[in-house]
Amino acid sequence: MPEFATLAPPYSMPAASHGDVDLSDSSSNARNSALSQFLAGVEVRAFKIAQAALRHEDDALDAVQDAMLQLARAYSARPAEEWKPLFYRILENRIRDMQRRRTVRNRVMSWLPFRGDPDEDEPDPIAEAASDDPLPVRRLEIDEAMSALEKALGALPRRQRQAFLLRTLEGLDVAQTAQAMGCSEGSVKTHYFRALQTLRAQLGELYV
Amino acid sequence: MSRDLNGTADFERRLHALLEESVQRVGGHARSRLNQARHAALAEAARHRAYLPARVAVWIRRPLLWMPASGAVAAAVLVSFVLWPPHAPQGYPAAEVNHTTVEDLDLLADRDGMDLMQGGDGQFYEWAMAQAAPSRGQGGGADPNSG
Repeated sequence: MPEFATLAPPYSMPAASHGDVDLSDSSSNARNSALSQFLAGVEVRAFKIAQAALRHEDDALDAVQDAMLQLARAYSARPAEEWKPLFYRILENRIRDMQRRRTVRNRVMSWLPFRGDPDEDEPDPIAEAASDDPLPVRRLEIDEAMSALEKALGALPRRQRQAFLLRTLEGLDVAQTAQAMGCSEGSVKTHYFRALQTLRAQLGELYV
Repeated sequence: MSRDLNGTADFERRLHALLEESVQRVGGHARSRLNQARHAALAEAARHRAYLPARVAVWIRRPLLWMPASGAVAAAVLVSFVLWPPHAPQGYPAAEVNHTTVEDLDLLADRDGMDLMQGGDGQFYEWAMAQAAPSRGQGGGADPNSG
């Protein structure tokens, strides 16, 4: 049909299928690289913070993974300096969700005749293997101190533990901690001080 | 009292060192899973970044799709003007007032909340002043200059 041939545009548009946009531009790569560096920098500390709250390694890893995905999905376009408080706020929400879910699950499980996961009692062969550490006594002392600290952190009220770990372990300043916790800077100082007093009362003999 | 503050600062340093040690000791299994999680998050970010402009372009190309959304926004603006309280306190948005109230409740509900206020020894205030004076280098968690 020659009529239709004349109606065809003199230029050709690329066949764009939505979702297949070329991401090879430099700004996108730079953003991905910045996000990668950020996540690599916070992931282990975030894991320790989650572990202190949840007291379960796999749950803590799940919480960190969810927080990473949520940050990447919803906030990766935000300025990089906002990522840290945002990330820890997401992580804390995730930890709280998991704690609530666990409470419900424990209540349900308490009604069932069979309780407990048999896999949890199996020792990890790698962890059980003999260590070639040259200073086993010193290592044992540190292990004991860490164990006492983890126990004391687990017994702290949630907000105090959060303020303490974000300040001491992650090194956030008061303003960033306030952003991550969703409260005022004065509140952060109060929670932090109370956490410090409680920990000192419990661990004072071990550390000071 | 300053001896006590020095002790607190020393205690903070020791705790920080111990926590750092615990970070160093995180095992290979956990590190491997964190690595996988990071890569999954980066893939998610790239996918989202690619998907978002395409969706925006679709919306811009279809003006008819905007009509319900613009109508809803216009209606919401109109309703907010009609229902907005005429004597709202200036400079204190409602959200912030509620936020502060919740925060105060949070502090008061804390089990040792009143202990701090009724202690009477001013230890917290002394500590807070030491935090505010970076030249003295006491306290402040991991980074004494940061807070």
